[in-house]
Amino acid sequence: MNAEHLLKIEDLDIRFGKESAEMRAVKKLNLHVNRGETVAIVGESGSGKSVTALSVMRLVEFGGGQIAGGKISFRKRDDSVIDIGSLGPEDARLMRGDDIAMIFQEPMTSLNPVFTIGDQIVEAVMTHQAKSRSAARATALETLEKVRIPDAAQVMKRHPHQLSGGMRQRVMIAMALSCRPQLLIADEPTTALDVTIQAQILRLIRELQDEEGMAVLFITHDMGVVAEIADRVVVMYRGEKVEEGDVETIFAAPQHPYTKALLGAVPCLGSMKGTDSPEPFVIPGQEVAATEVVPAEAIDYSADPLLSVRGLTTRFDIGEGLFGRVTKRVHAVEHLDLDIWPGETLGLVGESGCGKSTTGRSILQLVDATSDRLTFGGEDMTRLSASSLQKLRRQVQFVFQDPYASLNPRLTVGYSIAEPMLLHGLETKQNAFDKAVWLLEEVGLSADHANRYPHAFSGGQRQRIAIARALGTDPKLIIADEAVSALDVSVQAQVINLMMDLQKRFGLAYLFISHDMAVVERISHRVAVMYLGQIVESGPRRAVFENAQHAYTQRLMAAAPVPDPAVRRRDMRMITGEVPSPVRPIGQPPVINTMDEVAPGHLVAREQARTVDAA
Amino acid sequence: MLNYFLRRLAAMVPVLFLISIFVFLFIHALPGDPARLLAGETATQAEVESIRRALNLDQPLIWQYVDFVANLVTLDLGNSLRTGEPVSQMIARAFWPTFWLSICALVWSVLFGLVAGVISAVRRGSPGDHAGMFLAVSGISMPNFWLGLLLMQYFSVHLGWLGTSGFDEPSDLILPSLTLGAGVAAVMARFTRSAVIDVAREDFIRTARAKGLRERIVIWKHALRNALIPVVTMAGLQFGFLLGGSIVVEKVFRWPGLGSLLLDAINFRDYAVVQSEIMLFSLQFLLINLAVDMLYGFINPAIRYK
Repeated sequence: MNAEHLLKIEDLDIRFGKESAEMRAVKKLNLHVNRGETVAIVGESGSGKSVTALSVMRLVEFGGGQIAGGKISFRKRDDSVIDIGSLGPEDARLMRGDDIAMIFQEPMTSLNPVFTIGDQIVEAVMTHQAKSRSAARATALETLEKVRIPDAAQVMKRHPHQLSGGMRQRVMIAMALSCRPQLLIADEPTTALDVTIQAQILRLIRELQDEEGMAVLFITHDMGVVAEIADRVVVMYRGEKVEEGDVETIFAAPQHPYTKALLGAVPCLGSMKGTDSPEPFVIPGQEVAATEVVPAEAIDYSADPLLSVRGLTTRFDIGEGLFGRVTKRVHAVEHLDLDIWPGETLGLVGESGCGKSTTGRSILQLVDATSDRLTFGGEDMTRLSASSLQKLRRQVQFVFQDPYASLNPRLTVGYSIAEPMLLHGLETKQNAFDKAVWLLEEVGLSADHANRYPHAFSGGQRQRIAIARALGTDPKLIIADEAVSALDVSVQAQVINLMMDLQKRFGLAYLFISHDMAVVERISHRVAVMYLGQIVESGPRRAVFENAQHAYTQRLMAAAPVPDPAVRRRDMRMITGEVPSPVRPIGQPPVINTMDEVAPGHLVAREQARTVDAA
Repeated sequence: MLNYFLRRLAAMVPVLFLISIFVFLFIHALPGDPARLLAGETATQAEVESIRRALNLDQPLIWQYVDFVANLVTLDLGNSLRTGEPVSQMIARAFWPTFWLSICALVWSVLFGLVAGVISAVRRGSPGDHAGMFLAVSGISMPNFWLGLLLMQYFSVHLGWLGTSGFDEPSDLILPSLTLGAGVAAVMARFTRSAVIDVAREDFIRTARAKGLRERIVIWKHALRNALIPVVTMAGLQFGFLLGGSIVVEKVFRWPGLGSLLLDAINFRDYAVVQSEIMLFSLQFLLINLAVDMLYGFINPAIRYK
């Protein structure tokens, strides 16, 4: 092992399951990490990247896997080299958290809900260092301050549920750093976080790395994050390394077709500059001849909108006090105005908790909402009777984020697609199933898939099924609530292309709800940016993205990672703030934004001192 | 928290009121005439009627119910139809033997069930796990009276270590509480096992291992504490049943508890005793449920009551 090498993996093989049903998760993997270096392992779900990380921690055996071959060498602080694969369980345990520490994807579930933050860090310190409890507490406090947690002494006493996702991930980092490991393994640490919080966490990891001289093995599927943080990149595909190189080289001159495809599928903020209408992703190997590209018909904005909502308001009461007296209220959606024209995509962007999902549900009265006026297809539906609500729900369909949870596992896919048609009494049973088969083919699956159950399909295929189901009732509008957020980038690109294709052929309008600025830029005709239950900026996509006026929009754009290592934002302002809460005491409703029209159709909320916290 | 507690206490009043109606109606729907039973087989019709009048059983049902509720509210449970003794005294006498028996049965069975369940969960699929779960199923399936008789046969008759019946000294608790707790221990073991297996899949268990914690701490501290919620729920329910007094076990061991009292009272159509006992069981159940709900908050601080 070279003196510079901190971690060296040679011919690593990892297997799961017993011999009869054995699965080779990682095959003959070679990679190394130098001292102080950041190496990113990139790949899609199932590529073996997380399994590799878990095997370095010797955690893989707790999940039923085993290191079947190869060698993992690690240089300890005293310069002795250990073979991680052959350590006994006790030595492996002593190594974990001390020499090598790890943080995980899900900050919401990675901390034990029943113990305080302080206790959980103290426990890590006391496991590896011969310190008294009070000395360990001091160390814990110091580490929490190091990860820039404001009021760390108070946070020590809190339980995980009292902290936001970003804060919990900081706590996780603090816990990992508490024993000053030489290698930090970060497994998708920012995937579950909002972009502004993601930017903070990435920057924090980078700064801490400089301060501690620690190496980082960063696992991610997000090329934007790779560009932001990595020195070197290892691309994995189906358990094998397909390419390795400096981050600049990988991005500038990818060699392997898979790397090229991966990079091609990455939505890149700013890639739509100078264009007005949405465009499908170019997927290598699936290029469409230029002659085949039918330019989408221009949207006729002089016509009446398909859906028009004025003053949409949804509030949730929070009961407290002796007899459930309401003392606080969540102003999830507050006086929201929304227009969607036939055949257009309106992108609704914002961070978690801004009310964008509630907006979608409010339109269909899936939650208790009120509006001053709601028209659909020229019909006034403000006071929805049961029958007109039924009609509205037939013409507006939903596609949800989680393709695993939104299909009933006990029903065949064909039945799931046919069910809405049967519920609305649109088709006879036979016709409904025929149509379901046809829809399956329309979304790129085959007819014989209709008799299978959801577990037989991948995430991307399930999302296609969910789209087919939505199309069954011949809707005019589809509300896609984070519909592609849970998918791998290459699959995401395919599903987005499919949605655009269906839009052209069926004349669909989309309300595309997402937190991902780059995806929204790609797919939308118009964009609305939502913050604390209200829209702060809306207008044609080009105007909003190229000439963002509102401070919050600008902040969102600045935080989105750019898949180009040349434009690292080393000097970006460190925002330590949290997304403020839409919970307000009764009797103190939020101030309703006044919108100014800065250009035709481009509306911007007049900034109030309180709208955006001083960043 | 205190607010929540007080509100829950207040909510018990209408529940108990409803229960009182059901209890009253069910008991009076039972076939059999207490006046006739009390008067004896040779009594004349006139004697039976005079007893009926003396016991207010000739009143319309609604008045009997009003009497019953009025008595409950004033905590005067009336007198036994059979012996004339105040019911409150009879219950107070039978309560403590049943209470101590329940506590002993609960403590050993919960402790045993927890430990066996966790060990089974950790060694899932091993011969030890299979053996433990086989024992658990046996424990659930084995009839109480049979286990009680077997224990008695061996420890009292064969070895002569323990008495066979009654409650005269603390050692008399051993055999009945073993008998009574066997089923509970089995249920607890199965519950704990599945709860721990569920929790072991959680992300925070992986975090605990990534910190380098000893496996003992990962399981007994991080996993078990989170697995306690379903386990405590089950323990509460079981405690409720135990406090009701097990008629079978009390009969086998001639235990002077609530179960025996209830059985005798039913045999004699002793309305006052049966009604009071069932009201007591209901109240105990409600209180235990409340205690369990409050315990949730201590086990998992994310559960907060408002």
